[in-house]
Amino acid sequence: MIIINITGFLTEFTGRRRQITLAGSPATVAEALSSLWQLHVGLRDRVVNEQGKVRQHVNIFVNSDNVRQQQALATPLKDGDEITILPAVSGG
Amino acid sequence: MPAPKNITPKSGDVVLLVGTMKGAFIIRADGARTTWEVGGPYFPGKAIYAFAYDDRNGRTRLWAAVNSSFWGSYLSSSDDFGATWSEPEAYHIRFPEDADASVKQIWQITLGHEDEPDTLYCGVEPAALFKSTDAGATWALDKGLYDHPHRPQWQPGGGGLCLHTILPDPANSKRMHIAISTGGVYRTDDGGANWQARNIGVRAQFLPEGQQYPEFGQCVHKIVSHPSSSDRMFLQNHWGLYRSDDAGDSWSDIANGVPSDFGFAMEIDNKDPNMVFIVPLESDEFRCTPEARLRVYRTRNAGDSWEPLTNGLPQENAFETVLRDGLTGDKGDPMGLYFGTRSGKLFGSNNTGESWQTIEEGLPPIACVKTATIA
Repeated sequence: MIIINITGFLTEFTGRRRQITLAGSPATVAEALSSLWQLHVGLRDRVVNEQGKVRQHVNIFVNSDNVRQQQALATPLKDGDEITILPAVSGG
Repeated sequence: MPAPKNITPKSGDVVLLVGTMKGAFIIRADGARTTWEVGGPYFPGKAIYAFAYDDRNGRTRLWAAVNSSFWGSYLSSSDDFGATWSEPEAYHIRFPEDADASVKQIWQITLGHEDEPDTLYCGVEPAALFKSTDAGATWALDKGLYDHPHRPQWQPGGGGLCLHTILPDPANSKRMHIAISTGGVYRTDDGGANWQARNIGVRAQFLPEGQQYPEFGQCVHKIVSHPSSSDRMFLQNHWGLYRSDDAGDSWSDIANGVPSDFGFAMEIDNKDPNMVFIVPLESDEFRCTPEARLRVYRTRNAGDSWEPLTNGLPQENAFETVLRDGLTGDKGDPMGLYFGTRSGKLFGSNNTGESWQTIEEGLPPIACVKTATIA
């Protein structure tokens, strides 16, 4: 089981749900997101671009680690991990 | 977020579609164009660089290009003048998955030829053209332009590598011009399958001496043409004002009596193909109105001479900037002319620039101003 936390504007595309629980055992962040897109189609284009890359000013965390400092979308997952999608700090 | 105020345009109204760095505004007046009612903001916090009104085939549809620095760039439409907007789950404007690009920003929305009332075009960054033939329901990349051998050599200008201007030729449904910063002007004569650079005579001042007239690579800021005389075109360059009398095959310098030939915005009169309006800026280093005077310049003889239009515009301490889509005309007689500045001021004239009024101040920085006349 993987939990995905959704915040702010993005909840417009989850029926206002702030937490999505994915059944099954996705092996990587990419696999988890792929399942998420199927459940909530509107999230995909807002979080990743046409090439499937995370948008520049969006951050994805696994537990407390930003996946940009890990293995990006190939970051491995284990049962019980929490993914959080957040807009990045922009400006000063 | 602020709750938007909605307006209800009536038949005969003129509507200004104002895109800003922080949202969209819809502003209406009756045909006299003297008293204005402001609606909005829509999409608060999002940058709106492109706006259009499609009243073909019985539609009353607004299109806005919504650009979020977080969530990407997409098209939204409204059939009720902004009361409700579409929020598509999947973005319509997208490069194919096998392309080496992703949409950074939508820069332009343009209606297609009159005899193709369901056709729309979008110009995007990185420079590419998209076309819809079903009134915006689906879109496809113009592969002819995307696969052009020049494309790898196009370079981003200060605003990015954007395809910002699209001019379908009203007399020839197969012909269209587009302009790219920095790539130059390109023309298709076969409906977008093939494109030819059309920049002969246009200077690229940022290149070394002796190389300043390349086949392509000019930083063209805006081009305009006239429905009654589409072979006659005008071009505001990154340094340089030009006219073409042969549909862009060649260009000649017409910077006769302007305080600077640097600028972005350009508009042509809705009746007279010899009447063109610009807002000169001092230089590329200091992109403000020369001498801190806000002046629209008008030519009535296709660029042989230019005259400043200042009545009602600030002539002291006016360090203003008007962007490439910040100046536009309406369909009225005489033509109404409108422009917005990066300091959030919106000015209008109901007499082709003879006199001006301040329509609104305190808006966010204005990126584009378009007009609609309500049937």
